[in-house]
Amino acid sequence: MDVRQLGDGTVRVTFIGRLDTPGVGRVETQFTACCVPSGHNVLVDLSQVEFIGSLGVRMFIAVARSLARKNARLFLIAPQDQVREVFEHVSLDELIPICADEAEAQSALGA
Amino acid sequence: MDLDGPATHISVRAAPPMERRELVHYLVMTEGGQPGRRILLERATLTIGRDPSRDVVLSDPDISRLHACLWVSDGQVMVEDQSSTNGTFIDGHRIAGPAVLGVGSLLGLGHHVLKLERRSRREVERAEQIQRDLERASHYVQSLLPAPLVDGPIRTDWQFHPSAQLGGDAFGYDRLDADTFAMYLLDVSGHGAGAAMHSVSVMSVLRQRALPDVDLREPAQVLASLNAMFQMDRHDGLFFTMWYGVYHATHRTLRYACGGHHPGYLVAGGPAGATAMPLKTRGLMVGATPEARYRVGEATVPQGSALYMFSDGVFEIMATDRQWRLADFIPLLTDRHDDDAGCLPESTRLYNAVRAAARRGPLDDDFSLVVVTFA
Repeated sequence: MDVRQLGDGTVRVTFIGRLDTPGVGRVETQFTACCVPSGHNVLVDLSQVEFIGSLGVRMFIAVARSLARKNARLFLIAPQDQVREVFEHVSLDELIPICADEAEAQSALGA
Repeated sequence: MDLDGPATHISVRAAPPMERRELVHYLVMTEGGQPGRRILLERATLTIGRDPSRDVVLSDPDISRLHACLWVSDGQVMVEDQSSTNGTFIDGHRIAGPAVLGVGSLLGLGHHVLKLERRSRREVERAEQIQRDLERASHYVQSLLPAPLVDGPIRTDWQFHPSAQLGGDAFGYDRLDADTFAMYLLDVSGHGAGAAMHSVSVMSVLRQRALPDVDLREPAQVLASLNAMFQMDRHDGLFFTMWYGVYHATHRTLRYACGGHHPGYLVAGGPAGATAMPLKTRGLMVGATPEARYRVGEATVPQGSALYMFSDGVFEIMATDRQWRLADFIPLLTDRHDDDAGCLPESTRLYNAVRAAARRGPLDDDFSLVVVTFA
């Protein structure tokens, strides 16, 4: 997991590998800690994530809900086909914006 | 959380009692006849083989009568093949002569794989207690599942195989009145006793028809009411996905709704030569947000059709070469040959097909599959 803060305070998080049960177990605490307390918007780059399970979905929902209480937003960016398929099954886009790339997310933030 | 299984203590010769905090070596069976079986390695030589006289007896035709020996030397576990027919492997590599078995390494013999762990007895006792709790939770969930319906115009058969960590799968079906028959399958996010307790809570509400002011014949109403009742903020951060359907016999229609669940599939007129029609509506996981809205879909049910409801553990398997997805599983629904008919229950046929595709060892998640056939 790679975490960077952009110029406007937005946090960009890049995950690599599998967000299955052990994968989520390794990153969830750190992900939550680096996203939620500051209350900044968060962009999550999923382009290098090859699998996501229900715990991964739950992690994103929990953080998105926490950010919403601070008037901040979570964006999921560039999921691979297999990950996108899971998001479609759970209709996640009804809760969290899923963007093709960072520019689309930045555009949505600016709108 | 350690979720290993019950221990089998092999004491080759009398050994002095060890402190419970002292680290000792265990072999833990990860593949083979008794997954989770734990074998304590004391300082003496340990023999493994098919012969009943061995210290560890593994019933496996690919294991020799005396297959391998292990012993601890200078704090390291050593292993040596005993001229077995099919060899002894460490992390997939066949050994020749005495070899060190490192902590975390996998020892392969025949169809069995044993992982070496070094832990204290106290840790092991704690892990065993957790495992016993999980087994009790698993048995409780299974006791609430409905019996297969083997007579009448609507028949069911199912498979429920909890994973070692126990997921939160559950399902049910019931006749609501003379014309309607309800069926559902749910999958709680997460694993362990907490997820199982959550699924039991949901199942109990549905079994007792305890949703206030809800017509159980209306799938969207049911999901919306469950969503209001089981918001994750009040349920330890848990939500669940659900497929819920109601069959109306008079009109031969099936009305259904999805709460963050992948589709159910309707195979018209029996699997042979048919296509699998996805039954899917958009809707968020149940409990994820109070604002979730659920939609209803409807399908006609031709005579002899079969409906398949299943959890993601059925298709999110690691095959021998890659991760499966839903599209890998769906062809199995219609891949039934005429000579299969009557040989195996449909759910058993599919379970066997998935196991054959999956890499060896236990499945990662609960396997829950319900087949409902309509005469």
